[in-house]
Amino acid sequence: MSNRYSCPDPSRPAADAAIRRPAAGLAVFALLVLWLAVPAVSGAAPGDAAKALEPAGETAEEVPGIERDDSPECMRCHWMETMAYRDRDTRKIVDLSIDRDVYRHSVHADLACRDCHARGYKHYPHRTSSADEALHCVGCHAERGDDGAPDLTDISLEFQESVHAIEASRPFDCFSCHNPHTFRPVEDGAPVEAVVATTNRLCLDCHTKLDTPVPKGHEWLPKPREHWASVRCIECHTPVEGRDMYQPSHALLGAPESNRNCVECHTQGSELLSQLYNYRAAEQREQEGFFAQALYNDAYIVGMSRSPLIDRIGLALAALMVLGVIAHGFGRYLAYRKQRASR
Amino acid sequence: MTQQKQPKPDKPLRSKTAKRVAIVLAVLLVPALLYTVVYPVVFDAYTGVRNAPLTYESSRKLTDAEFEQLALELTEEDRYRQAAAVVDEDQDSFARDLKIEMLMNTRSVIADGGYDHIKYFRDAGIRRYEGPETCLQCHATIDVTHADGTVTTVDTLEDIVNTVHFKFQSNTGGFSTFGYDGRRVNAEDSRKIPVGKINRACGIPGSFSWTGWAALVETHPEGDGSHERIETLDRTGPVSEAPIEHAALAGEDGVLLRSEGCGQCHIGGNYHPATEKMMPVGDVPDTAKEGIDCLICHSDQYDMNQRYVIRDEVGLRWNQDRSMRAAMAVGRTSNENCLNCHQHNMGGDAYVHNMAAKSLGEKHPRLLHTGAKRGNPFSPQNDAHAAADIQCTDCHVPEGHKIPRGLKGVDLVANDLPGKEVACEGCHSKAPHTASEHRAILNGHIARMACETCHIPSLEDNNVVLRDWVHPTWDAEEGLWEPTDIYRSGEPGKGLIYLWFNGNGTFLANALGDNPEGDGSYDPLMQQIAEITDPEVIAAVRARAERLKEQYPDIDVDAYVKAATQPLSQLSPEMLEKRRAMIDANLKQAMADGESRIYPFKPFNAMMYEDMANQGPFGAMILPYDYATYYETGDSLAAMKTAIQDPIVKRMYQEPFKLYMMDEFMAYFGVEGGWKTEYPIADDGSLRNVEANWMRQMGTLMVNHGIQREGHDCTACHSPDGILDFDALGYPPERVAELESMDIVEEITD
Repeated sequence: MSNRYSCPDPSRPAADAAIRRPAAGLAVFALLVLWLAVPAVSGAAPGDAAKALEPAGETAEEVPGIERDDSPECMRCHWMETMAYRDRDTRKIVDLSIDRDVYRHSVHADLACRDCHARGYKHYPHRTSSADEALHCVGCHAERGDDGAPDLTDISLEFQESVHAIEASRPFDCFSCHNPHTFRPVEDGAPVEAVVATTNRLCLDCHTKLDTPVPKGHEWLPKPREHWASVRCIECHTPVEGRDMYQPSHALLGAPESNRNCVECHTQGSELLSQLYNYRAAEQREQEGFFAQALYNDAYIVGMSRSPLIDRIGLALAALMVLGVIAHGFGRYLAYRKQRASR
Repeated sequence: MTQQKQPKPDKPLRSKTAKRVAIVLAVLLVPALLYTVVYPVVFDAYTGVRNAPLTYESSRKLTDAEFEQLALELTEEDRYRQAAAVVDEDQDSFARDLKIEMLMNTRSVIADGGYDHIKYFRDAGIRRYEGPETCLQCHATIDVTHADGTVTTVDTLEDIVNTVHFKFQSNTGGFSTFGYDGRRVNAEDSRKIPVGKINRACGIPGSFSWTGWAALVETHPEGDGSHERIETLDRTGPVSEAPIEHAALAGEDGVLLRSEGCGQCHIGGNYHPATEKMMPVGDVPDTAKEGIDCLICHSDQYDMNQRYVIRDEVGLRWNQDRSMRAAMAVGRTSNENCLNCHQHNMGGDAYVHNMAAKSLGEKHPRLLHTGAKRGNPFSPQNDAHAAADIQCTDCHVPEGHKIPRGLKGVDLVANDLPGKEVACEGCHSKAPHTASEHRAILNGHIARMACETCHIPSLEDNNVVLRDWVHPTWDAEEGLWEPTDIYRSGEPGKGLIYLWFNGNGTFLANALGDNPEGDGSYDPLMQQIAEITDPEVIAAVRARAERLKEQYPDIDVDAYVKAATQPLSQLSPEMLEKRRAMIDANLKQAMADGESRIYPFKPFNAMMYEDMANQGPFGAMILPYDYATYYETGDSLAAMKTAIQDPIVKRMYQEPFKLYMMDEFMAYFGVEGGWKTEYPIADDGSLRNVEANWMRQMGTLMVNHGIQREGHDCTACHSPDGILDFDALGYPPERVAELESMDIVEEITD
């Protein structure tokens, strides 16, 4: 189980100081407990998060797609980092630049430009645009199943039922959310925060008005930004049934169908939380062993208490208690010896 | 007095407590007294600067009746202007006049027209404008909104006194300027010295602010002045169509006194720049603060005809408009206010739409500089943003009286708000081109090119590239000697050059940057700005040098052209080698920093007298000129000798100044071994260590105004003889070939 609420926070010396003050011996003990706890509960230091998302080194032996066929011809222009235009309908900036390095590390790295963009790009100005060239992810993936392309049929079916397919005012397709030139699934074992950030970025890139202190439609939700940072939007906005950890549902739910009941998450053994966090907690327990399990089994709130200060005070109290027990035992032992000696 | 005192203290001083109190008081009071009373006197004596109470003729008390008359006139003029701005110009003039008259007398225009302060002054009984004193009665403090939205209340006078607009320098750091020794100027961990225009001896004005603050020049005009300006339309309506007839203005003896000097564009009205602020302690005296010209920046009706040099019993200083008329029209700063001074360094004095240059002074008219410093005007006629009525302060968003100049700077100008950005991207998104079919490709260029590169297609023709101060030329019409402009051009590739720039510059204003796709050959300090290779430019320089030789027979034309176009040829082989080593060791990092893009620059070089005892591989200490001597006699050597006899220059050549700042200054300058205090004039009056030289490389001035909606087209650059020299910009040969051919361009233009 990894979460930022239990990481030691150097910017909060007050908590440490509070623990240290009572007595030196006590502090040493408390620190010992903390020291034991820290590696067990802080699976992800910030540095790790970045590392885990870093793509692995290039392994493909064949010529990368971007250098094959007439791709270099395309890249004569499309390397330009600022190649973009503002769409007249959406008023949004459409990025046309292809970052060579990022492309090389995407799942589509082996594909040359022409493998997908078959028509109309031989000359400049191009006679067609991606909107009318009918790029079919599902069909292509089905054809290339033998090359290891995952089957997208289920996703496609889910998508048909999603609020994006049913209610979107503009044509909505795979590319509305996923950029095939950069796409790369989140690494297995990436820290939860990184997974959450990457997944939610997809939503918040369009739903920009939700990245506010009191987002529309989420007025009922306390601390929305904290939720955005620690829970995936899809935990509440996809059906609970038939979830697959490795393939999040694409049947996005609109506001009326979505979960807005706090207890659905914040309760022991809840359906919703049993998704990402519990899966990860179980995984972590296996890896990190006893201590994390002892502290975090059946957790139903992210973090032990959602407050690092209270966590520390709790740990300190526990340590004090143990110390008290030991002191009491030691005292009784001394008293016993004294009694025996006086006899 | 001492005799009287002695018998008295007998008793009280016996008490120990009283003694102690006296000692404590003395410890506190004596330094305070020394600081406030003795220090300023000693400082003035040491530096030779003088301060005195300042008076202005235009500061005149009005009667109530005069006040009301003026109020009426100003209000009506303002209403006329408002109405005239609305009524279509394209119609019968008589009909238009009637319409304007109707409109200006409507209830709404009457309610909106006029100036707020008329009422304030009327109610407060203010009938005379006395400078800051008058303003501060109500505006003693102002609220300053900072970039992060926080608001602080500050003392108005302190705020303005500590701006670059008043003190012309800053020692607070925040410069993107690097010394040739590789250190960032006034960086966090360095000993900070004041740097800025105040102490920058520069080839363009040929002087520096103490020796060139205010001068009265005797001129002997002969011509009709017709070369200066033909069109003299004023924004408030048509004025004289006639050219300025200097000869007619001259007195019976044929002499016309003209005003000249750095002070004309600076807000202090004193006899010298804010010299006191150069020191780590001390402040500008109150009399000097009373000389601050609030209205030149804040009045809608400031009369630039009041801006001329006056001589009083203390010395020379700049007059200003302190009339009630200007004061009553006070308000927020508008473009016209900024351009009163700043059009001089953009469009130039000779620029036809320079409004301030149409009012040269009712006495001692200011000298017009016919060559432009940048030649990129900011006016509705020549700049897209000015045409859209965008205000200077929309981009240069002030915090109180501090005005930001952006994060990029190549010319070592002090910066009041070093961390505050001023950039095209502040308004334009990263995809600014929207209309063209090729918008995506155009937007793609931003990765490597600044907006200005395309959208400032050229500078004004009178943009000065090479100026010879040593061999002046007689200007018959103006009746004075002026520096000889060896080459002027605003053409791309000639007077407007293109360099990689990451926002850093050197101590002598050289743009730093590097080609991100380069083969390592980009080497501006040895090549691009250290030599002129364009054959047309070289031919023009030669032609001008030959003409100059008619007047100065000693000139060796070949040598002259070589020094002007290949200034590195003036360096000894050892110096050249040292230069190479210093660039490699000290400046590579500053060049590689951040993201470089291609920016346009105005290149500039000047031939000046130099103190060769303080020479390094990048140049020697430039010696200034006394303007009056220079313009009147044309004897450049005598003008230089006069200027360096200024007390402050003499002090510069002494130990305290050396230790205080000159050693550090020289280190940034790339001169090893510190400042040599050998004064260039020996005791017997002969000169030593003085040579006339061209600066060792061209200065490069950023140009950011004069933006045109229509930029260069594709083939301007993407063709074999395009304006961008891709080879010189450090591209590998195969990329040069690609960039120069561009079959895509052919497809587009087919």
